[in-house]
Amino acid sequence: MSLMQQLPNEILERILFPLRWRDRYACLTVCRSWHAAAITSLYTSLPLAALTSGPKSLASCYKYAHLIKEFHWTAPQQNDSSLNEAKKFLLLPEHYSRVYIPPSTSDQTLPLELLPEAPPSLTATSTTSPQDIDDMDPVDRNQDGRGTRPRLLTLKITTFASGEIDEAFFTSLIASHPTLTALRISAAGFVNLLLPIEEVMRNLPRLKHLEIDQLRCRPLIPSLWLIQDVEEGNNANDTDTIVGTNTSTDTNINVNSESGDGHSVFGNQPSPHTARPPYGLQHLSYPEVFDEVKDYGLFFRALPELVSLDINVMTLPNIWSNITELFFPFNIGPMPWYDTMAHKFCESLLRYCPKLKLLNITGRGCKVQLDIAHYKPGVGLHNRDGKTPLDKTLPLILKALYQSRYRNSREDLHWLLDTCGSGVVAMNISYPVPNGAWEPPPPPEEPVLTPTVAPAVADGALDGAEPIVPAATTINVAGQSQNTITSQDLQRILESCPRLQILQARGQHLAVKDIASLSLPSHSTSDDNNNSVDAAVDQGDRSKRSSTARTMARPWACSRTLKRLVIGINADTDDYLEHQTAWAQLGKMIALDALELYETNLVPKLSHGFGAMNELSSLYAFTIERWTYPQRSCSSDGQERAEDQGHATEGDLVQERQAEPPQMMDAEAVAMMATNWIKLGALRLDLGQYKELMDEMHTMVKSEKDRGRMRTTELSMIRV
Amino acid sequence: MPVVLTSSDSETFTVDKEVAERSILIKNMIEDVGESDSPIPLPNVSSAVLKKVIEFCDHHRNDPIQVQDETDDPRKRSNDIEEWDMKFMQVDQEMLFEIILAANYLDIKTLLDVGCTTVANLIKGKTPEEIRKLFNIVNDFTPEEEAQIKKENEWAEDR
Repeated sequence: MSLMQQLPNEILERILFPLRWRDRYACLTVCRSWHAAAITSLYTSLPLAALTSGPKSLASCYKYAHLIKEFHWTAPQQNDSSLNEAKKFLLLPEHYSRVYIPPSTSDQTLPLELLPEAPPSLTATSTTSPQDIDDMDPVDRNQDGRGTRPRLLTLKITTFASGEIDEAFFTSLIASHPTLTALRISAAGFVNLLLPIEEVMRNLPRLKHLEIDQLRCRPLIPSLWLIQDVEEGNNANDTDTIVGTNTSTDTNINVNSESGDGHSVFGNQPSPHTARPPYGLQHLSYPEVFDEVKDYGLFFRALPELVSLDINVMTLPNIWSNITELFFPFNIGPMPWYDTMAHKFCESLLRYCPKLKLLNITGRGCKVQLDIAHYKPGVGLHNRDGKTPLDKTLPLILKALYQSRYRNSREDLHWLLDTCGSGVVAMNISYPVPNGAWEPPPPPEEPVLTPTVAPAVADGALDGAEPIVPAATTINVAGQSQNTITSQDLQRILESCPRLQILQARGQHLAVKDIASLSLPSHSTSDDNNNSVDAAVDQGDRSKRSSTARTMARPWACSRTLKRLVIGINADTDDYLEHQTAWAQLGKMIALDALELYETNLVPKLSHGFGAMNELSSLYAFTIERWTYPQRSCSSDGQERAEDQGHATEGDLVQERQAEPPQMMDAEAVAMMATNWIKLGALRLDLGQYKELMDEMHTMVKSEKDRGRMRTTELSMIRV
Repeated sequence: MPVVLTSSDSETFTVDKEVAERSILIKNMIEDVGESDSPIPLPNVSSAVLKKVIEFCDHHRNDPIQVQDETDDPRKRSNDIEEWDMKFMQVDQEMLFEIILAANYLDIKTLLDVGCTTVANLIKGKTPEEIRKLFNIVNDFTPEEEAQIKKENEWAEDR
């Protein structure tokens, strides 16, 4: 038997899931031992078309309905019968669960691991313990006592026709799947559905995980039991106490009396399935922040189990932020009422969701995360028992940080890097920068978070005993539109994040002059130094000059941790001093594993200081893409340089200057790579517009290979 | 504090704790047992495979711990493999198979993903016959069965 036939089904499923349907279809008939896994993977995610391509297909859809986790509701070509078929299909879970699932395997074959991976802190509580089952309504423990299957149903709506999915259908959909523990619903295009989010939580008592993407939610009406609570005149402290005790069994008693009223809000008949607040939701992901929730205090009090909250304003095409931009096309700065809401949001979240570990907010106009960050341990906020300060819940992991239209965003970025970075494990930074002069970075502020709250997640290569430092290990600023991230910002990040491992800044450019000049105490000295360099040129005092260049560069804090760097570094001219500074700086990043210089004009030649890169012994992949030759520096000092450099003879350089285009890399540089970069496995050079140089490069690399020095297995030269 | 691992063929490997703890299985073992000098037996992993696994863990020792965003939803998994990982996976089928099993047993999710993606890339775009040939699998379906399976699931054929 072939080895691949002995793979356990779960692994085979894992292999097949990401493939296209046709590939999974091909695997169905490979052999018997693959069949089951292929069926599982095929029906895990089902397109509408599966229901409409013939009676045989429809029959097998019903047969394998218990496997379905995701349903793709693609536009059904205005075919009413297929639409109705699909609706009927989705509304009949009891049909397939009763008929087709063998009791013995129901809980083993669809275990919790099919759920999205819970945050580490969640795993202990998310598994359905026997206790949980007992707590469930009796109806859930149906017929043969096999309990209920945790299922993640994803409904993807990709249709532009309104009316196909309406609220009535959606309500019946969730009502017919009372055992769902996770629900993801997403839409593309305009869908005429206001998702009744509270009804979802009511009707799905086991729901732990709710993701809503690109759909508007119906305004959240705080449940009546909470309103009543407040009307009774409870002040903050009293209500806290009540919520606190609610975590135990008397929750139900407390709530029962008002549950009838609660349902009347939605005109629903109370059913045995229906849950009442506080809901057990642990992960909530939804696309709106402010416009629908009227009172965050009441809302979050209903969600005391919340572990992670994900709000992505960006996914919704036409909501608040866009509307605001429509009406206020100019940057009008922070609006007071908006800040107040953000403030309330944060306060409520921190007060009522003590288990919160992960907060992820992206989107324009979000000032929330900054407000969260402003809440420091013990600053007027207390846990529900009124005693424990909130520092247990801090630091929240601020995953995606700050996208804003506000003028003060640059300060905010720096403040984040300086102070509250301890919780930051990954950042997506994007913020507009007004065209204007860069101001020197402010002096470092006092660390605000105490070292004790430094999270274990962000532990880098450095030991944790040091004072709070920005702990971002991954920063991604790639793909931002031009001028949102300036060269100075990149330098700033590199020199202030000592745990940084990955910086993705494809398309962003770091100017060599920023690597150098930021190191100087002030701008005036920078000017002085430039002058002195100019003077040095005149005097031809090269040795002095070069040492100045080296000391000018301020060290990047991440030199011991940075593993992957994608960046464009550019020099103003081909003056070798600039290149030397850049290469020397890069050469100190001794942990680099992959270096991609994208849209760069650094000259990788020993004559330009490339030799400083010889320390990068762990470099595996080296890429230069969209390379251009730097502008020629004026004057004749190129020739002087040539004399100065032992590596290139005067003749070579003269020749090079005459011959167009110039050489990109010389044989010495290739030899340096071959000798020192012992782990180099992939070398990619894009010679940009200089196609003629391809062959030359190839020859040089090949000769090194022939000498057995370069073990590069992959050498690709990209022609543009 | 180094950790000593013993393979199925009784070869011992001494690795840094942070490298060994890329394996959730080992991490949990260490947590349960507490720090001790006694070697951790891995009876399901041969020395040749364990060597590869350690190489992988060592290379990824500083990778950020995956947070919630990287859900276990396999469809979200990227089909791109890093250069190094791709090279790492250039092994014969038997080794590939063993690495996947070991990653599963040791609970090293990143390695399991890399292994699965490698196999998936082999399967991609192939006919059943080509897949059989690739993995040296004998077709044990009757022609009738094959036709029936195809018919039942024909919706997937061109999707």
